[in-house]
Amino acid sequence: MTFEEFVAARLAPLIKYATVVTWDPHLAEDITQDVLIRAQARWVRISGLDAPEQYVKRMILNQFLSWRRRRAARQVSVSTQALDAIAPPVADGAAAVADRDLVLRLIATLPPKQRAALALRYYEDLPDDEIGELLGCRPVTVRSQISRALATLRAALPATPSLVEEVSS
Amino acid sequence: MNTYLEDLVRDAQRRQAGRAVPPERILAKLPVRTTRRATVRRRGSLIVAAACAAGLAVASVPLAVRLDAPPDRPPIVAEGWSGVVPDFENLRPPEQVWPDAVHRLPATLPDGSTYSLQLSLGGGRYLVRGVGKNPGPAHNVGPKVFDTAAGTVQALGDPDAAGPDGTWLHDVAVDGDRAVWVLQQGAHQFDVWSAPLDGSAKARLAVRWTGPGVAYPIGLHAGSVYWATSVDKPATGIYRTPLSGGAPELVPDSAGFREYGQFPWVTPGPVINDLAVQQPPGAGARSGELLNLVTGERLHWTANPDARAVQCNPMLCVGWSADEKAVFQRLDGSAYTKLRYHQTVMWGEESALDGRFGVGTVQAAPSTSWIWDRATGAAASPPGARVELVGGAFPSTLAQWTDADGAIYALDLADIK
Repeated sequence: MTFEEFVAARLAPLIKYATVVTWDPHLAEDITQDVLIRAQARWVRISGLDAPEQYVKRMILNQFLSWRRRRAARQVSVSTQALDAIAPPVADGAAAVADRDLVLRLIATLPPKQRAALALRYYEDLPDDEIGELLGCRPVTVRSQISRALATLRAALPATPSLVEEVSS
Repeated sequence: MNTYLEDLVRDAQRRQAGRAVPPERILAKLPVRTTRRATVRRRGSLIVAAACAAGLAVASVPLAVRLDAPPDRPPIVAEGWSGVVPDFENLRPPEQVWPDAVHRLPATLPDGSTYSLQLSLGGGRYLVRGVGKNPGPAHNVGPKVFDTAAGTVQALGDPDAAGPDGTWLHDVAVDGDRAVWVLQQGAHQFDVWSAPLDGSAKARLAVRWTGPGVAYPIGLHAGSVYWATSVDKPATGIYRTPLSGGAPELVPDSAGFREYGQFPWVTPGPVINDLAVQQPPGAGARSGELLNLVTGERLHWTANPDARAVQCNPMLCVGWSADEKAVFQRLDGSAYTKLRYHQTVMWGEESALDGRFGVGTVQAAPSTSWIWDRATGAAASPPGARVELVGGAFPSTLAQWTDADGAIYALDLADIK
């Protein structure tokens, strides 16, 4: 498969993957572009792999984590209180929709590694050991990262009966 | 546990995926040919981005980096690996380990345009890929000589040669007093150009693959370009063509070998290389050999019985163990060293200068990017940054990284004695 054929066939999924991992469409665009340019230069080798797309996704994740380190000093965390001000808990019949909206915003405030762990498990459906290798940590750490991420989301979400009942287990 | 919250997370991520930028926005920045007008615009954006991605790296060495056995090149295979693996999580920064070989780089050429490092020529002169918003036809994607001391830039491309759309500077090398570079046009055409480094004559098209099928250049030695056949087809061997022209000839004894990024070393396919992906238990060869295309030397390698998969360069082998740990070993399987890092998906190491240098990442927490000189045992890690080897298919002699402030650094491997 040529580089052009690969890009034509797999660009959209790669961008979606990058968007979910980074939680920032613009950063995802930058990272995907950078990675593809680098991949093109080495395509004769990458294309010989059993799974070129897996390798390119790995490049995207690495680029994101490197990018995160470079940009960490310029990123501003959003507190739960601030989020409450942005999206106050609602108790009407649209609670489920509100939950989804709030989760969408809350995930963006998670530490990048937790965000990536969530993406790899709940978007890519990868097992913990593979997530661990991609993130550079042990499977037990993956589970703790995801657990902490879910705990953060759980704590920030409105205490709806369904959440209290189902998530506390 | 499959909870309402997890469903919310999945839903949120699906919606986030839906927010992805349209692929066309990125396609517009990649060198995919459609129409000429559009391609010119794309190429401009691409090369600007390439500079951001690859970094703007410059380094100084006393003499040019030559691929035809320069006399100042450090000894390589003769200085073998001691069998000791560095403590990758406790390494000093490269500028402390190799202070004379690390250089902080300017962000732009003297005219303010951006560039991307290709090779060091020594004496403050560098071969770079000049970039701009509208680089124009093919001649402008050729390399330039950037003399940092004089503050000058000399384009080596042929100003009269208007290349086709979608042309890409694939690789750069030096052959004596001439620069040699590979322009890729589209997916399958690779043209080798040459010009004097001092700019005293126009660039000329030196070599174009005229053999059967598709081939791409993998290296340059003693005035000949070496070609590997397309990875889409069974490896038929390695060919070479003199820069002075002529039909490609099969390198003796190379039938059945293929390149794996370690020129002049090649290996029989299929390759579990440094980009290896997950293999089922028992997959892959347990032994094999490497062939030096230039000298004809053959090296035999065999995996340690505990190793699940290895990939070897002339210096050592990297891989992972049966219990999924990262491992190193000598080519004969001795000095088998199992690290504590879990590893099954990929063991990310790239090597340079016949395996003397390795660049990779260990999956510690946080992951640590390192560069290791196997000949001396010295190793380093730039804090919070990822080291990369510069270049494409041709052998790399430079590593680079970007620090937390965005500053770009280059490490000239040929400058490390």
